[in-house]
Amino acid sequence: MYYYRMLANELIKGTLTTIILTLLKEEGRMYGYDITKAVKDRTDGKILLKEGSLYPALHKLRAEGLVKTEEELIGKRVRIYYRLTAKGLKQTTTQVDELLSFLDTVQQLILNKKPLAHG
Amino acid sequence: MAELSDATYDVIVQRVTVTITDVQLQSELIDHCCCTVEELMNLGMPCEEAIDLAFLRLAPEGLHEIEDAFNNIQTPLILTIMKKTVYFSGFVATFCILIGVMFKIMHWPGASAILVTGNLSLTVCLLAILFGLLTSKTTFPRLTYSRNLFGIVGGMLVASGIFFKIMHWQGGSILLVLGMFLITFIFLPIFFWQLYRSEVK
Repeated sequence: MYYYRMLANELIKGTLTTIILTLLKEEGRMYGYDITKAVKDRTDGKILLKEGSLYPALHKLRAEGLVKTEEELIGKRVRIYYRLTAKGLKQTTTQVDELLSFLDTVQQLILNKKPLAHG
Repeated sequence: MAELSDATYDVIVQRVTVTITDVQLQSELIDHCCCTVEELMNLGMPCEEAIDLAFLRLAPEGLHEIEDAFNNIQTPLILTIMKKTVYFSGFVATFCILIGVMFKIMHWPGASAILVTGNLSLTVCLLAILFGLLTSKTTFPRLTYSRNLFGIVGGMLVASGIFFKIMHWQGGSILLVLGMFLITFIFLPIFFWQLYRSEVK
């Protein structure tokens, strides 16, 4: 079980930004907790994002101009929402295509299957 | 939906702000913890337990792990700016000093202005290297660190000394001699000694 979790964490590391960008593309705007909850719900709890990786990744995406932030006051708390920029929208398509193509190749390599067409 | 009391909110704020320094990251982590605590309290967990579990989930090794990861992604931007400054000012300095020396030897007009530009660029270049050295997370051996520090300070003193000399200001000689002393008696011997040692190894 521990090995499974370790392996999953290693696999998620390389796809974290693609996951975040895809969620933002679908949902419009999200905040950190929202993203972790969405990932947990969509994967039936199989993938749990580590907040220690999520927030630095979000800040990196903002520094690269792929997402922008909006602040909203929720009672005494400041909630920071993330939204894709035009550059981020373009990048999402590229990264998703790359990831799907990579997954096909890995599947082809491991299972000796022919790749699926993604367009 | 469980509403957080002001006291609970204050505990969360205190626990986050004691470690996290970036204001936006503080707001995000406070909000994240508040959401988790609310969720856990809705499941019937007592407040204190919910706070502890929320922080454990957020950062099992402690909040410094998020702070460190955050700082690591911030560094490249500063490094990029610093490297660009070093390369650009380094090029301008070399270009201007070489052209300036040629102008000076040929007694052409404008030599001093070109040399001053070169020296100023050299100072900017050395300041950027010094900044990189002081903020670097890489642990250098003590001798290498001292060598770099003496080299940079020596270079800046020489550049300032030449600038003072060209402008006929007082103190130019002291700066020049001090800088040359640091470079020739400290920086260069250590540099060539380390070069020799690495070749021998």
